[in-house]
Amino acid sequence: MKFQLEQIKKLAQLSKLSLESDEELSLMSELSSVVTWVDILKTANTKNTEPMFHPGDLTLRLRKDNFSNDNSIREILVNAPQQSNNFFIVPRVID
Amino acid sequence: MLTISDIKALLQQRKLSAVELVEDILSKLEENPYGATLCLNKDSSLAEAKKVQKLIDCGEERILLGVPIMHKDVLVTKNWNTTAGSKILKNYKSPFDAEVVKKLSENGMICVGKTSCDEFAMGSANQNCAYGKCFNPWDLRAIPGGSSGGSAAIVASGIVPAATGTDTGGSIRQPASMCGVTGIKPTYGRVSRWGLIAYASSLDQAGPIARSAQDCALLLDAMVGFDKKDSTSLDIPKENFSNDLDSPYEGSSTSKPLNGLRIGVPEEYFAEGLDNSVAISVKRGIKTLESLGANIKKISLPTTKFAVAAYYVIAPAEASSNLSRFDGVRFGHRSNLTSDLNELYINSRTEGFGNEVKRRILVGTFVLSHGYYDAYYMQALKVRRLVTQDFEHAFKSCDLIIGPTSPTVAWNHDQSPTLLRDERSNTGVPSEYLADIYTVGASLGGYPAISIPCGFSEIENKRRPIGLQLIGPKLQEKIVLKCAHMFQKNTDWHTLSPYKQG
Repeated sequence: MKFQLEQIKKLAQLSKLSLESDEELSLMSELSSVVTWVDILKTANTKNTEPMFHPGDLTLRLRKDNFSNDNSIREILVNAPQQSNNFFIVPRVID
Repeated sequence: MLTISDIKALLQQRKLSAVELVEDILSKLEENPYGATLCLNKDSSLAEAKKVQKLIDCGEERILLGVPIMHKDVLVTKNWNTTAGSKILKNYKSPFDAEVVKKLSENGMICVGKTSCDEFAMGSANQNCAYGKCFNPWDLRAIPGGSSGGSAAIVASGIVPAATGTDTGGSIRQPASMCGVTGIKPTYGRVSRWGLIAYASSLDQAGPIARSAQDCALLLDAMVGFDKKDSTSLDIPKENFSNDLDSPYEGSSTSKPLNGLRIGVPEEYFAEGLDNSVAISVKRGIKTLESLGANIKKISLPTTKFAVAAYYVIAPAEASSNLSRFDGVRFGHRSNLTSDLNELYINSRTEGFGNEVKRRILVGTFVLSHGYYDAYYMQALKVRRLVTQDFEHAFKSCDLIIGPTSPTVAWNHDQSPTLLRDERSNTGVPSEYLADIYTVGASLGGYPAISIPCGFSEIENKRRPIGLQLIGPKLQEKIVLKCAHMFQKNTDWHTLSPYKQG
């Protein structure tokens, strides 16, 4: 499969990444190579084969929605790029 | 080269105190040998050593008590920086320890540092780390393998006897192979993923890298166990892997300790693309096992040709989802160029992620996107089942599967692996991807697999280690480790070091 420039721009947008124009060109070529290479999967006979999401087809176990107090607010907020009054601060979202 | 047992003996006989040992190691790590270390925390390590020494003085004799270890920097550690080899987590301090870190610490191990790795464990050469190169102690021109390259290099250097690694498509086994040390990826679900920074959640598994299968077994004893915090953790009774390593396999004799053990040799693992020197060493290793009584038989894993491609669809798909948490809001790098929230996300991620991570996020986003999901992602998941069915079929007639860990020895920093006679190497796909061919099968199926040293290839007067891989059925780590241990009792590849080349 050969990617078009517009597809690379769209993927970057969906991935929340910004690409320089030279990066777009090199990624267009690299992604085309990778996806062409994985096209070999289409030659596998998977008729009547179920997809396998997990080794052993594990069913994810649910736990009770219990309150726990393992982490302190301070230890978590120490990593926050910007914070105030125990809130994470981000640029204004609502005008 | 001290093993865990050697260190244990020195500490118990009071020939060395835990504090002296840690001080000695920290002085060596200070110069960052081989670029294998990303973070030290001397105060924390020395405080742990003092605490442990008190226990030793009180007569405690737990096997791992006082033994130093380093953790791969994708395992979070309280009070230490955890970067995952990425700029986006520069200065990140986890509020908790990864479960595996906690378990090893509870067993008395002293964390003396965090090891270098490919960014978010994405790579096979440790060249995608944002904090500089890591070198192979056997030959500084060579890569250490990846993504747990720092862990393998530091164990190979002999500075520490053990390190943790994580393995998504071969990231414990391949660097262990290239650095001449032993590393095991346990069955998926054996070791808790709580606190393992997720790359591809259905494949990620932590495990030990050490100097021998015996040491790996001791470490694994401490690492495994059900953890309710990991929804994929296996709720099964805890096993001991080290206690009967020395007894012969299922009643065979001491002279032929592997009598009756059926080992399958997949023809696809010795086909085109395999370096000749690797093939010779691995075949010699198979002969050794045969001389110990193992019944060697040819088998076929016909879907091997699809396995790497399936991996490079599934892993990026899961990565593109997992890495969406790095958005510059709650932790990690935040860009200064943030006029609105969308720009904050985009610029923080663009500045924080390296090229290989971006490439895998884009591939993952593509294979999950509308119109391509069925053709790529679902098809890869179906192929994953076919690959697993191949293994299940093989395990009906054999107890273990054997082959090379990697098709080549470590390549030079400024080169790519040369995959002989493989026409696909000219497709523009990183040949590093193709070099995962023998390790991804066990990852896709969730099988336990170990890499043990079995020889060397000589390149310009320097030896580069070769690894042999043993893959077992699910939850059969005991057999994998026993076979590896019996091999190591009868060979000395694992005892050699870059400073003692036999």
